[in-house]
Amino acid sequence: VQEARSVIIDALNISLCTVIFIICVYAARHYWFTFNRLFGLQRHPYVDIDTANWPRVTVVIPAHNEQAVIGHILEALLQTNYPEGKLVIMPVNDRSTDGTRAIIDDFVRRYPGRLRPIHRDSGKPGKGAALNVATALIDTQIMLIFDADYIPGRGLIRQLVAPFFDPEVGAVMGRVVPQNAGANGLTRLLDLERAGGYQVDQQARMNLDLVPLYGGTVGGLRLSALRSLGGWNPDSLTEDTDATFRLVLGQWKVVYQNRSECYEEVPEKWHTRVRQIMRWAKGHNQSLFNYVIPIIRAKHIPFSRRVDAVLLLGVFLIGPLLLVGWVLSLIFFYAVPGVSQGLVILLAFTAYTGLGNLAVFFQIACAGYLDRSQKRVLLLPFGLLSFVVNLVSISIATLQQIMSPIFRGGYVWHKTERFRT
Amino acid sequence: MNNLGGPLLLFAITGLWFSLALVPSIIEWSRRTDATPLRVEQENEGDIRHFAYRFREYLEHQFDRGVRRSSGVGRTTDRTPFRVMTTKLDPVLTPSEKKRCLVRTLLLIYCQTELPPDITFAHDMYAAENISCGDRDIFRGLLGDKNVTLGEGCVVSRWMHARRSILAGPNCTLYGRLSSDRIIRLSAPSVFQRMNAAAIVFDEGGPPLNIKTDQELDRSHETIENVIDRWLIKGDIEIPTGATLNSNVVASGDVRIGEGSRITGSVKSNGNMFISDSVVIVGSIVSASDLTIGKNCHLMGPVIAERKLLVGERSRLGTSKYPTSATARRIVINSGCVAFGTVWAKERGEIHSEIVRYETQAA
Repeated sequence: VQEARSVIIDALNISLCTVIFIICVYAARHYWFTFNRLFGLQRHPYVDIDTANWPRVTVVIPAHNEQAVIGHILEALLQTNYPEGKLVIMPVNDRSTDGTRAIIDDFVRRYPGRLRPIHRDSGKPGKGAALNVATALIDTQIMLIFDADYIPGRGLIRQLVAPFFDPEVGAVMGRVVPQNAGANGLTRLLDLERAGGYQVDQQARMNLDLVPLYGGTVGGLRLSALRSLGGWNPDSLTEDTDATFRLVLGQWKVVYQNRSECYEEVPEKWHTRVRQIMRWAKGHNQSLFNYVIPIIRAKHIPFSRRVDAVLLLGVFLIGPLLLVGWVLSLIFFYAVPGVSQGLVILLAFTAYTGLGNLAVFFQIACAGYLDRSQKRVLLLPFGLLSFVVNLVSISIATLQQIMSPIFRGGYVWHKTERFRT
Repeated sequence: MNNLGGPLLLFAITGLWFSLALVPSIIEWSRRTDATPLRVEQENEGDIRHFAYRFREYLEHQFDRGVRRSSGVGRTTDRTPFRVMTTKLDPVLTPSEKKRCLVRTLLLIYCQTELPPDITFAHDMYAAENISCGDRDIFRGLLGDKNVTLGEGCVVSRWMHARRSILAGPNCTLYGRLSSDRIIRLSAPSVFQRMNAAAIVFDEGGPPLNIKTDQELDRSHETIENVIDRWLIKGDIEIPTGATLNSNVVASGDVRIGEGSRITGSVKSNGNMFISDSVVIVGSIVSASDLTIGKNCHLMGPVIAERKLLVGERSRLGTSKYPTSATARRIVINSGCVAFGTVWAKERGEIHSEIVRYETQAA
C-alpha cells in the first residue's frame, strides 16, 4: 500500500510539474510579446504602399441570416477607394431564412455590375462550406473575407491587398475593433480582450517574424496559395485557423497589419459569448490534432516559427490544463500528508499563479497603453470574471471533444447572434 | 457571540481593505468614462494629401463665413489672425515680423509672390498663384494651387502640396508630407521623408532609359494575377548576369541579381538584396533587410526594404502609366533617378550630390 501510494504521489508530482512548466512557458511567451510591443522594433513593412497597380480583388461576405447588418457592409464596401473596376463584391447568402437575400438583391439592382452575389439554398452548413462554393467562382488572385457585421473604412481594401505584393505572403489579417464596446459590461471586457489579442499578441508575432493568426475576417488570402493547399477545410469549425497552419506548412507567410482596422460587433450576451468561445476552442483543438505533428516535423520551417506555431495551436488547452493544475495542487495540499514533499511544487505553482496568470492581464494593460485608452484599463480586475467564464467554457468544450468521436468532424456550426438594430 | 465578533470584524476589515484596490475599477464601471469604441478612421485613406485637403476645407469653410478675399488683415471664426495679399504691392511681412523673422498669421496669397529669405512661417499658408520661397525659409504647411519653388536650405516641417510642381533647391529638409499633382524636383543634397507625385525627379533626372518595352510595361499591372509559379530557395541565391526569369523568386537568405537581368515576376529576399546595374524587374521587390539597387535599373512594381534602400543613379521606379511605391526605414537615392508615385522613408531619406554605393553582404 505504501509503495502504491508513493507511486501515485510521484505521478501527481510529475503531472503537476508538467502543468506548471507548460503554463510557465505560456506566461513567459505573454511577457515576451508584451515587452516586444513596448520596447521592440515594430514591423509594418507594407502599410506604406499607397500607390501601386492594384490587382483585381474579390471581397467575399459570407452571410447566414444577416439582415440586421448585411446592408451596412455592402454600403461601406461600395464607398472604399479601391479602383472600381478592380473590386468584385461577392456576398454569399448562405441558406438565409430572413431578409438577407432581398437586401442583397436590392443592392445588385441599385449598383449594377458592382456585386456578384451567390445565393446558396442547400448544401453543407458552415462558413467553410460557403467559402468553398465562393472560392470556386472567384477569378481573381486575391480574395478578402469580411464577416457581415464588419464595417470597412475607405482605405481598408488597399491596405489589406498591399502585402500581397510580397510573393511570400499567403494570407493577411487586419485588426478587429469592437464597435459596440460600450453596450454593456461584457462588451467592455471583450473590447479589452480583443485589444490585448491584436494590439499586442498579433503585432508581436508580426514583429518577431513568427506566425500571426489569420482570423477569417478583415483579411484575405492568395488564391494560388489556398488552391495549392486544397481549398478550405469544410470539416473545420475554424476554417481560418485551419488555413493558417496549412499555409505555414506550405511555406507561405501570414502577415498581420495592425493599422488596417475594422469595426466588428462582439457578443452582448454571455450565452452567445460562451457558444462562440466554445466553437473557437473546438476548432482550434481540431487544428492542434491535425497539424501539431506535421509542424514539429517540418524542418523547412525555421525553428522559432515552429515553436510559435505549436504554442499557438495549444493555446486553447491552457484553460483545461490550468484547471487540472489547480485540482492537483489542492490534492497535494489536503490529501498528501507531509506537504513538504510537494512544497517546492506548491510554491512554484503559487508563484506562477501570482505572476503567470497576470501575464495576460499585463498584455491587455499594455494594449490599453498603446491604444492610449488608459481609463478602460481600470476594468482589468473585472477581467477575472471573463477569465473564469472562458476557462470553464473552453474546458467544457475540450471535454466534449474528448468524449465525442474524437476530432473526426461532425461538428455542429452555430451562427453568432447579431445585436445591431 | 463575542468569540465570533472578533473574527467577523477582522474579516470585514480585511475585505474592505482589499476592495479598496477595486475602487477605481468600480468607479469606471459605473461612470463609463471610457466606454466608447476605439477610434477607427473610417474616412482615412492614408492619403498623403490629407492635411492639404483639410486645410482647403478649412479655408472654404472660413470664406463661406465671411472671411474676405481682398487685401487686408482680420481674424477667422476660430480667432486665428490672417492676412490676405492680392497684389505684389501688399507687404509680405509686417515690420515686427520682419524684425523677428517670424510670421504667426495665416497667410493667404492671391498673387505671384517672392518670399524673403530666413523667415519662419509658423502657420499654414495658401498660395493661389506661383510662389517662390526665399533661401532658408521654414514652413509649417503650404498649399499651392500652382507652382512652388523652394530656395536653398528651406525646411518644411509638416506638409506641402502643390497642384502643379514643387521645385526644391539644394540643402532642403523636407519633413512630413510633400506632394504634387504633377512633379517634384529635388536638388542634391537634400533630406526628405514622404513624397508623392506623378513624377519625382532626384536632382537632374537622367535621360529616358532604353531598356523597357511596351509589352513589359503593359504586363506590369498583371504581375500578381499572372505569375503564380514560386521559386523557393533555401539560403542565398545569385541570379546570373543577363538572365531572364518568368517567375516569382523567394529566398530565405540573400539575393544577388546579375547585371542586365530581366525578371517578369516579383523577388523576395529574407536577407539582403543586391540588384546590379541595368536590371529590369516587372513585379515587386521585397527585402527583409537592406536593398541595394544599381544604376540604370527599372523597377516597375512596389519596392519594399525593411531597413535601408539605396537606389543607384539614373534608375527608374514605376512608370508614368503605372506609378508605384518605394518604402524603407532609410532611403538614399542617387542623382538622376526618377520615381513615379510614392517614395516613403519612415525615418530619413537623402539625396546626395556625390554618388553613394553600399557594399552588401549578399553572396
